[in-house]
Amino acid sequence: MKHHSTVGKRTFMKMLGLGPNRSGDSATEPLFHDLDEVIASPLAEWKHPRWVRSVDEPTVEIDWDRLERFDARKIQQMSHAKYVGEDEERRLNEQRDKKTKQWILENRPGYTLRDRALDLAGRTGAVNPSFLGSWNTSAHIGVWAGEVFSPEELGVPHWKGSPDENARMIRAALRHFGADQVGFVELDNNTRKLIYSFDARDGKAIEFENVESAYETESKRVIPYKAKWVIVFTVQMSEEQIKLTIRTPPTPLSSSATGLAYSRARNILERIQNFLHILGYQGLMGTWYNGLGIAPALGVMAGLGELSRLNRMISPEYGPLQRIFKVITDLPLTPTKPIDAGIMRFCRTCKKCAEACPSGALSMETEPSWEVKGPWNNPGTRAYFDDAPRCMTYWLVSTASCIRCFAVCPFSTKNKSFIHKIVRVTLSATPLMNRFFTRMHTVLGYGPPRSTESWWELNLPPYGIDSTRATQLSEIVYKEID
Amino acid sequence: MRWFLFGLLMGAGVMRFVMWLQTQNIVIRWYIWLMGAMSLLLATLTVQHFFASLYESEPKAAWRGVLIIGIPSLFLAGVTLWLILIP
Repeated sequence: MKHHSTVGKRTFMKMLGLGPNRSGDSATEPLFHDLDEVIASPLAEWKHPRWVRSVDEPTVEIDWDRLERFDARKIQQMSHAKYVGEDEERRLNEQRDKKTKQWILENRPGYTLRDRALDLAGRTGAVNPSFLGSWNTSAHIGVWAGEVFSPEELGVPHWKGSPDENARMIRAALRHFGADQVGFVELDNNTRKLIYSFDARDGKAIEFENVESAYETESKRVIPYKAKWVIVFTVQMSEEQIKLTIRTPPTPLSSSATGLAYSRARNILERIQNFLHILGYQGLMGTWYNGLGIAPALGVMAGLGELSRLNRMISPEYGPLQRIFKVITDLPLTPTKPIDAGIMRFCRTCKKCAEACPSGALSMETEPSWEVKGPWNNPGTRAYFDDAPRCMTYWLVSTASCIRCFAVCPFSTKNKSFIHKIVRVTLSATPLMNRFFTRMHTVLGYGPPRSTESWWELNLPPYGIDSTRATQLSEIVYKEID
Repeated sequence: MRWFLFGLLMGAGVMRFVMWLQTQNIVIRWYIWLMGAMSLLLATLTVQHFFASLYESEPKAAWRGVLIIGIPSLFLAGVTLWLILIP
């Protein structure tokens, strides 16, 4: 099927930063002459390993009748004071501030001034998230490279492609912008419940209306019903930083992995919003880190991974070492199906995260439950609900965002040894060996303590991640410049 | 490349071993071949696991893997050689 836009391709692609690179780097970078090549590129393909099965229903049970849209103001980051009491919150904050200064003065490993600087600086440099997109501001009007225009402004028709082609295009573009996994969820009467009812940060209502374009007022953000596809993507976090907390309390150094991933994602979100705007479509995102919708739920529905004992998503490729982000669009996209890789079944046996949790916030029950732990959980799924305020309290006590449950997870490995593949193929097929595998993880001694100070001496790749993981870099065919 | 060289060395070693068996007029029963192959396979997996685990920053897993997979490999190799040399 022909789906070429009438926009001059060379100009169009140059403006998107996808055109031929005439610099000296061109021999080492993939060259795309037009959007058709982007879509046809192996970068646009994303397949799970062969042993991961696509399924119609996710491995977490969902009672769609019971499930309701969640008020994001109830999450622990926003309502911790309500859950523990105003006085306790004040005491914890004062204690955190005092400890922060004291530990810097003591030069305590992981809490030194340079560690704190790395964490805080890594969270900066990102655009302010905007529901409608930064193109909506006067700073971004024009048709020159680096600026953002709409097809109307240029006098050209909107981009047209089949949902399949669009999905491949979005995946390729997102990979280009820095995302890892990409999946798609179609919003219907059920999945619409995964979009928050109120924004966590400013408390604005998030509503769906039969309107042509999204809009925002003083009190609400409105998503048109026609915008019924959610682009869900992940951004990897540095394993080396996260694993610093495997046997020791979290530090600013270990939590900087999270901060940097969020910071990178905000820029990726803005880029995909602008990409959609230039193509003539809407791209709507949350105004806070985890805004707009329930990230793990959308990740699970998009087939990026399975829900786990962490009450977060674990993917077959990156384990839990990633963050999930989403954009709602009216660009038609082929949804990706949920997956079954045996992860949720494995969590029934493996309780390493819950055992290691310093605040005791994670469930130790063998079976997931329909019963929530408090108003911070959303009823309607049979999950391992967490006692989130406990987790948040520990963040304040330790002066850093704890992520030890991610660090100790057996899925948090680089997957280089053949053993990992055997384990994953087996546990995707049968739960019979799960207890043995959990035991062997301990017997083999995975997760040795790591010296915090030594991180500064490591020669790590950019962002501390392996961006070639689960990609097809070796299969890319470079083309000659005409 | 590393595995290509490893394969070359392994192939050369097996070929040399077969040639030596022929010069010595030694005939090996099928189950001894099987045990030898198992031993080589386990040895290969030990090497793979060892270096891969070091890459994963898991030195303890690397060495314990040598114990758990490597020792059975050596044991099998020993029994195989014993069956060949002392019929």
